[in-house]
Amino acid sequence: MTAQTLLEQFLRQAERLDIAVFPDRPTPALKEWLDKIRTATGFQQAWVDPDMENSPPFLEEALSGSGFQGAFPLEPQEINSSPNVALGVTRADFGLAYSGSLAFIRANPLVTLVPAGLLAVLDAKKILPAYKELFLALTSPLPAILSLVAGPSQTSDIEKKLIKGVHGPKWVAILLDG
Amino acid sequence: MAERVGFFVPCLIDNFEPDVAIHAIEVLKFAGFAVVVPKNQTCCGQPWFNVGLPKLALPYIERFVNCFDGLELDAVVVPSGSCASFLAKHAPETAKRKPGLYKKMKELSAKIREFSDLAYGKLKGVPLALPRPTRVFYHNSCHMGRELGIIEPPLALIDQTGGVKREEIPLPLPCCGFGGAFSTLLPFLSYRIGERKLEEIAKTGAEVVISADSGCLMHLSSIAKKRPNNVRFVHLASFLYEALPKP
Amino acid sequence: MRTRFPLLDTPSPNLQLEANLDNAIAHYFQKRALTLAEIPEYQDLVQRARNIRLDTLNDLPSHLKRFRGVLENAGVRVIEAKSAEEARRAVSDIAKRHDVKRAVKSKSMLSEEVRLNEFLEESGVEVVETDLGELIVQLAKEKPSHILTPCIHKSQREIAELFSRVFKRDVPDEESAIAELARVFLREKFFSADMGLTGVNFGVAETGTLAFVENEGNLRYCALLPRVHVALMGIERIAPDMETLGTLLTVLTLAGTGQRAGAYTTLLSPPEFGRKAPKQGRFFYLILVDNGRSGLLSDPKRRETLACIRCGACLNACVVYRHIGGHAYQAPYMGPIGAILMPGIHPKGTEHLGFFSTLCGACREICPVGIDIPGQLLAVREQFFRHATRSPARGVRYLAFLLASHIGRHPRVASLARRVLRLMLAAPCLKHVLGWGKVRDLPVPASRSFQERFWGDRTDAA
Repeated sequence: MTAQTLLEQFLRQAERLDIAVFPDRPTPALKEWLDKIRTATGFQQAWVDPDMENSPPFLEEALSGSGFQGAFPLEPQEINSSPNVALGVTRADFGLAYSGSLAFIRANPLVTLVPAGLLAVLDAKKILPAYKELFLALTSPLPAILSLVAGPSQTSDIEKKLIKGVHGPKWVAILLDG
Repeated sequence: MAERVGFFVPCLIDNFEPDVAIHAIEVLKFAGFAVVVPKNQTCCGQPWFNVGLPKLALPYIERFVNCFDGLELDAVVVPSGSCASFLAKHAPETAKRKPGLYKKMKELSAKIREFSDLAYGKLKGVPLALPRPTRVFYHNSCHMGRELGIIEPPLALIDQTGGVKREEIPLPLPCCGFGGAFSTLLPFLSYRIGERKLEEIAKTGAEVVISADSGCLMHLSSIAKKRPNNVRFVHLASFLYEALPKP
Repeated sequence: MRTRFPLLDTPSPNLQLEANLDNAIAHYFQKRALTLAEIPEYQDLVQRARNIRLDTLNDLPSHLKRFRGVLENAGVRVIEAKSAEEARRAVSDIAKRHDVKRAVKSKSMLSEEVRLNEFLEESGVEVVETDLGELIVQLAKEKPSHILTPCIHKSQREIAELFSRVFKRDVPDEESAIAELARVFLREKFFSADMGLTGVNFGVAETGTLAFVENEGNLRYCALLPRVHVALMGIERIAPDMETLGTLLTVLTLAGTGQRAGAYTTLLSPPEFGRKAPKQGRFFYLILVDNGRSGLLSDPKRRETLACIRCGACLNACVVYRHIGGHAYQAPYMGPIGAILMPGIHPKGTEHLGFFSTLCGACREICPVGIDIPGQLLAVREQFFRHATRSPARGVRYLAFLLASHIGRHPRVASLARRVLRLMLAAPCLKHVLGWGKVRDLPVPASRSFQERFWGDRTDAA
């Protein structure tokens, strides 16, 4: 499978999972998405994962442009005292074409879980077909935590109605890099 | 030369709906089979097997073998998906409990053919027609569909019959709730499931319910009797018999 | 007093329950159909998953040995629990050792099986269920009624009323309001809990990796936030290596919810299991629970039951489950899988579950690892009658089937019986003697059988 087909499949599945995808430059769509989270949550705090390498240069500006503030990057221990973080920003290591899942290895697992929104930077060349290829790509020993996120936190426990944002992020977006 | 088929009569048909057997034989003859009916048949033994007492099914398997072995048959035709699935899939394994029985039962089991499956092979495309236009619903028995994998032949036979409109249920309940001994062990539950199945069927507007299993039909019709409706319950063999070209 | 269940003990159905189950299960089938329509190779996946599970079970002791070896070499604390009692005690000992006051817990059928919550509560630990469905069931002081959707028996209105009562405020009949209330309530619990309790979907023998699948994110909180994480795992839940794990994860969510993947899949590997600073007072324990599984494993006819990966699909497919609901099984596992698993691991009071089935085979058809559930149900029924002397009711049932088998096996006796039945049904008072007569009119037998008509009445003539 060519990298292009993998990317197309990945984006198709991501769309079904209600994951927004933005190019890696400032766009009105990204601003709209950030504004939405800022307004809906009423919180200003964003948590940019310190493990994140090469954060796109415009990102900091985009965040402050939408009114996000606070410690940045936020220290993990601060999360405990302030669980009401609006947005987590980190880098995903891989995407899976089969399911639209994002795979996080280096990211602090809590940054993908605690905030109301998750913005993941993903290298467009890092799309793998499915679990099998992902597991092969991981070097031994395996990471202490491999975290896969396929869309917003959700439940169908009440009359099988889909509810988003139960404990983890209600909004998930990808900033597609490269 | 005409294919020689042995006719197994399921005990429910034998004792409750003898006409169905006569209709089935007529349809098979029309289809060009030479039909042999061995004497002194009994139940196939499935009820005891299904209830967890396979040992008690053994005498029945033995009788089945005695009735049908050595008749040089091309097939043994069974007008019940449920009995056919037992004889084809489970009887040989059960027969292992009695020395000498397994081999003969295994040979016979390979010849077991469910009625509609066998008939369809010959009647495909042959013109059939009901005397008057009818809306029908076909209920596939669980053993016929899920154990034997026979789904298309009865539908095709019905669909090729002139004057018939076949109705379907979206996302149907998977079972009518009969389940043989289940209906006596958990009678309220069995009744309720049947009632729900009838509600589903009523929504289709069908006037005739067709099945290739007398168990399902007896179960559903016994519940329907307690409810106001004008639905008829007909075995596929009787339905086809009605639709045969009249001389 | 024994609880009386609609349709088992009483003739009237529980219409509210039926409606709730119908609604939820219809949603399930719609979602499933949409997803599977785009995965033409699904049946091949099922076959592969089935082979993986059966091969693993056939060689389970060596897989387990390898799994334990990897974990112990990495310094992970693995505790083997032979029984439910040992499992409960192990968790409670850990709680004591680490001075645990509050535990947050994700959904784990195994914890229900070993009755962990009651035991921990008795020893003074507050246990908070954090899966929304489990929380609802816990607040209602009930048990889960479905493997995947614990509160499937409840309507939204019932849940809103429950929350209004428990949280002493007016909770509107809206799913988002209920979920938001639970989110705020639980978030505080996550951040203040001393211990997280989770199940395990699969343990990988080759790497010691533990795989967890969920949709809400609560499991991830339970595993990662509290200073102690205790995971309970049934000994059969082994995947030999990472490749087979991939296949099992794939069929698990496709069958369970019609999703290609759960919203959160978490793979924790030794030595840290996600705890990047184990030296800073963070602890992980794995409890491997047998509790009767070895018995099933050693019976080649019954081993297949252990192939189950707990997706819950067979419950949705089962016409019996859909009418009586999960509570009527009075067991931690319900539906078709409960009916074959419970009598295997805990025969006392559960062998009758083998009869909670019409043998329609819808469960086998939907099972993502192709377990021959009807075949296993037959084995349970045999087990029931092997113990026929255990109760008078069982003995009577056996004698009835024995008598019937003697009547039916001789054509002449059977013919006589038919005539007697015909006479009995003519007398209205006798109708009720027969099982069917309780609820419906028995069909009246023909005056002459087919064979008598075909051959003349002398059926014995050669």
